[in-house]
Amino acid sequence: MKRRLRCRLCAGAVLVALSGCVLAGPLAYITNQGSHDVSVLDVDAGRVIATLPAGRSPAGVWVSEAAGRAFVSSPDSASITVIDLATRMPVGDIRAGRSPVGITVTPDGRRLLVADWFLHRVLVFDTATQAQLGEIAVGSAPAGLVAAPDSRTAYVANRDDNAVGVLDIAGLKQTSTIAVGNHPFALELSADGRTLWALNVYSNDVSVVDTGQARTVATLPVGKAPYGIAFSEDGAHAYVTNQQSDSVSVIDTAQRQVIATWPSVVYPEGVAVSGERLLVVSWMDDLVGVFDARTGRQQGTVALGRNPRGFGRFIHRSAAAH
Amino acid sequence: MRAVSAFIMMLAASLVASTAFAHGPTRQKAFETITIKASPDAVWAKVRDFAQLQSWHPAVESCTATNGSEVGSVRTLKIKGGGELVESLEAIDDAAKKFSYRAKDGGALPVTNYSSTLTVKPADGGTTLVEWRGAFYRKYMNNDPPKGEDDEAALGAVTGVYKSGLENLKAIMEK
Repeated sequence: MKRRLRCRLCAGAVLVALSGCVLAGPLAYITNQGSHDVSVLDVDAGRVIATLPAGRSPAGVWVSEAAGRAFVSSPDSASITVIDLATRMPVGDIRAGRSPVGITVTPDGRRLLVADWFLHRVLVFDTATQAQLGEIAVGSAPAGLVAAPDSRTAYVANRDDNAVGVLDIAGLKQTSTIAVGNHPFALELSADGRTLWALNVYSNDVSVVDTGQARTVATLPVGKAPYGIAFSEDGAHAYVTNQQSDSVSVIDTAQRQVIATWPSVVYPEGVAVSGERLLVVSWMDDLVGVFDARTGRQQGTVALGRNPRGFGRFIHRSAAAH
Repeated sequence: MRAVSAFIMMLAASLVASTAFAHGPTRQKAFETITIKASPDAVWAKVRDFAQLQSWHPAVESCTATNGSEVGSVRTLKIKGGGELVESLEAIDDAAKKFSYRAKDGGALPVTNYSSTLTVKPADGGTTLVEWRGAFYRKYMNNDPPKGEDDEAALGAVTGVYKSGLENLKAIMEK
């Protein structure tokens, strides 16, 4: 009895320490597809503070500060793991179609969108109730997803159609498509919602889509098999991981030009910027490389679980507030 | 009759491939290394020839390539006991002593969308570390794969290729 009490006190102390003053900065939630879990990385300390269980083969991740949750997609268990950002603990498990990969949350935090890879549809969930509200028939092999600032429109990479689908979330409809390069997988959207970036894995380039004109206005050659994209915090630069070139292409977003190509980790996939740090996930070496986002100089590496992906926005910036 | 049903199966398979998916959703990887008591230059000279895999890999019967060890060269490997692999050279770097190749279809291996990199690195005491890495998807392109076309089969096959190749390379170089 006494021992059990002491254990409980210990556990309580650890929880307080983790949720309080020890954490000074942002956290990264990185999916490990081979070990079926999520590494929670304290970015400033450069260490993993927790490893959370997920479904089978977790790939996609989206941190929504508006929802206070991170969502993780696991295609092999057809499920979404819900992680509470305040406690950094899994708090829910949602059944999601047949093979969920791409995932996003609307900026208002109210809707979760999941691309159901094999069944060519996007599922829409209420983040508060975790109930599925409906589904949207889209193109072939839907992958990356991102929602517009108004939280009413979303974009999906219909990979095997070489196109991006424009989705009306409330109307549950794909309203139009925009031709991009060959085999688009990852997408990102500028903060103002005006420019959509589609990464074309087979044509080794990035399509720059003007969302107002609903067409591709520029195509930028990058390295082989571009797989992940993140913006600098001021939006001036985009960083694109080239999975088959072990490099990162740095794009000046205003000029729409590749201004540098930096050597990176082996098989780089997920990427994120946290302040002046650039995090690049190495699928092959089971680690995340930490780089200076201004110079590309490598500052270190942190070991993760097996076959890490980090497909989506995986940084929780204001973790310190909790 | 048998040939006809085989043809129908092939047709069915190609229909599935063209209307459906390029691969299953979970990429697998293999990573094997070996230390060889020989100089990196000597080991690189042995392995860099894209058209001569049969000279060191025990499972390969013969090898022909369209353009030697130039990027874009496509080699056809005949496997001992039957089967073929068709692979294209994607990159080769003599300074870094590494090359990468890929196979869209697995051929004799139960994989799809297979890419591989072999790297020769200096190790302690004048020895050499050879790293062989591969990324691939299982052969079965949808959920719920049958045995032999699942992740385990893909991983086992590629790992077997790397292990047997590296062990034989070591044996040859240390002779």
